[in-house]
Amino acid sequence: MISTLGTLPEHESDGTIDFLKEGAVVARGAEAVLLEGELLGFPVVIKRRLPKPYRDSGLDYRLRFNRTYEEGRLLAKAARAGVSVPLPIFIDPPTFTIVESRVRGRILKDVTDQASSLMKFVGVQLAKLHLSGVVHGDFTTSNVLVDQSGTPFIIDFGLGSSSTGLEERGVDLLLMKKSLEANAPSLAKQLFSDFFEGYRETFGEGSDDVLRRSGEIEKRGRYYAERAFERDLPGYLKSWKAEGGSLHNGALWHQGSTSQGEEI
Amino acid sequence: MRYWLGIESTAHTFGAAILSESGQLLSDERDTYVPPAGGLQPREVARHHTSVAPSVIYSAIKKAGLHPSELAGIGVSYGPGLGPCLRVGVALSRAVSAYYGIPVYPVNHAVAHVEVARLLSGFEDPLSVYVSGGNTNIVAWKEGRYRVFGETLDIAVGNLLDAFARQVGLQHPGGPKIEKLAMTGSSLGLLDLPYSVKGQDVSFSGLLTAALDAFRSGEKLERVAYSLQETAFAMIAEAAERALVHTGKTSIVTAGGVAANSRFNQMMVSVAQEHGAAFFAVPLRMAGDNGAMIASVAMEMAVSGAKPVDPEELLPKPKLRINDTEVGWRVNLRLRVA
Repeated sequence: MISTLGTLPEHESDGTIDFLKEGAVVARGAEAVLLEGELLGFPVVIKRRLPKPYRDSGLDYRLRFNRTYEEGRLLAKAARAGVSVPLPIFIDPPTFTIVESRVRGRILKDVTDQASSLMKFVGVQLAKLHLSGVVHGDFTTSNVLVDQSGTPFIIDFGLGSSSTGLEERGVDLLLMKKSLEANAPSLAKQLFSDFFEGYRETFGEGSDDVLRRSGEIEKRGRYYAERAFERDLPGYLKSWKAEGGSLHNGALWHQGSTSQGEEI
Repeated sequence: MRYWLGIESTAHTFGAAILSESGQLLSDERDTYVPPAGGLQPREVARHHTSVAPSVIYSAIKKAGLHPSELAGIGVSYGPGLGPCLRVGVALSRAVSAYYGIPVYPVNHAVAHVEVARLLSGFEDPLSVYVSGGNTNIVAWKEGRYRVFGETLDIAVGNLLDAFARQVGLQHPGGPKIEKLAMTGSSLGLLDLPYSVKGQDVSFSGLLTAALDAFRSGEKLERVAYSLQETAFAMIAEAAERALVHTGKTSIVTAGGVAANSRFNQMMVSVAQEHGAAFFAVPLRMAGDNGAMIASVAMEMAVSGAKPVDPEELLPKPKLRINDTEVGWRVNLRLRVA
């Protein structure tokens, strides 16, 4: 069985075998550093979560450990479902390290200008991911890598989770929409609609529900008011509103009345 | 020399300030409503504003040594904010504008917070972290507007702190009291509270519920305050860090009332340092709502040739968002407030 791994590559003259060789830093993200490396001679990327001096050390350890563990698990799950992701090769939560296969490509953020057809494939990949029971949690144009063949790879599952929830899936769509809007305001609408076309084709039934929910989440974040209205409005105002009445003092709800609705 | 009057009345503070063309703040008057108990009641706040507004505006103009007819323009915050409060400032500026024939500029309150911090910092194009009672926005200027790169998906961080404070029996405003409690609570250790960052966005409602539950089940208030503040700010810091990396900006400014919290700024300094970005925290005096920031935007608009609005078309917009307003008029001028 050992032979299936091939011949072990040659190593330093002292005769020791390096299990993992760490090379140069290739990228530095918001929470982790990426290094080039070799694992038993195979080219890999080493992702290591760095400590954040700004937060409580206990919180820092908890977040880094859990995210490393979780990311490895999710990558494996996505890969098994046929989503294009870097393959997780070695996961070591105590050192906050993930070793994964190397993908060469450009960040989607840098190719969005000419990416109309590409966006459809991005939608297909996200749909596959969602169908596998995984949500990404940070699905922006910075977290899609496009390789030379034009295949989009989804990377960085650090904020992902196992979920089939409408809410979490909606957040993925919303984050992509918002990051397109932020990066390419004039093209965003078209790019998102191409993206959703691919998503819908692959996801099938229920994709419109996900889109609708993402719209709801966006609206909810706009102002606390809009959400509070539906939830906290006293009955007589609900019917007043239903009859077309406008609540010009509506902003009352966005400050100072989170838990006590008696101010009307 | 031209002078602008800025009028602020979106929430608890009624403010008026005079700013000169050279960026010198000549006066900065304000009167903040403090509720006798509980949270802000919009109608009560509006009543307060109505009673103090004339004297606040009068003393701002007088301290600047001007006559109203010498004003080059008026800026007024027309949203976002509490409807009844907004109406006070908007109605007054309509009146002053019409009486003296002075142009009036509608100013987006959220944009003003971010702009005054930028003008004070001297940075040309920073990432702005705007944290207050009604807003938690991480924004950067792109293609003629402030674009939202991260925000709260439910309640604002100031609202989180105030709501928690009110529920545990602390007087409004709760933020400074929680900050103080947190200092003594840090030695007690961090409670495991929900930490929710979704991409560059944050969510605080689960944190509020969990913190209140912890307090009600007998946990010491100092410890809960520390854990609440620490968790909430770490979430914003992480979201801001992501936005910084995503946008590639090279400087950060903090703005809004919560930016008066020293622990918050400490975290943001650390984020900036780690990425080699310059950092500027809005000075305490300019962190909360004030007329100076409204005057700053009016000045920028006028200097850049942006059109004033007809007084009869000037209406309050309680739900205005920071990215609703076109910002094609930014100038680079170092504001002097001393």
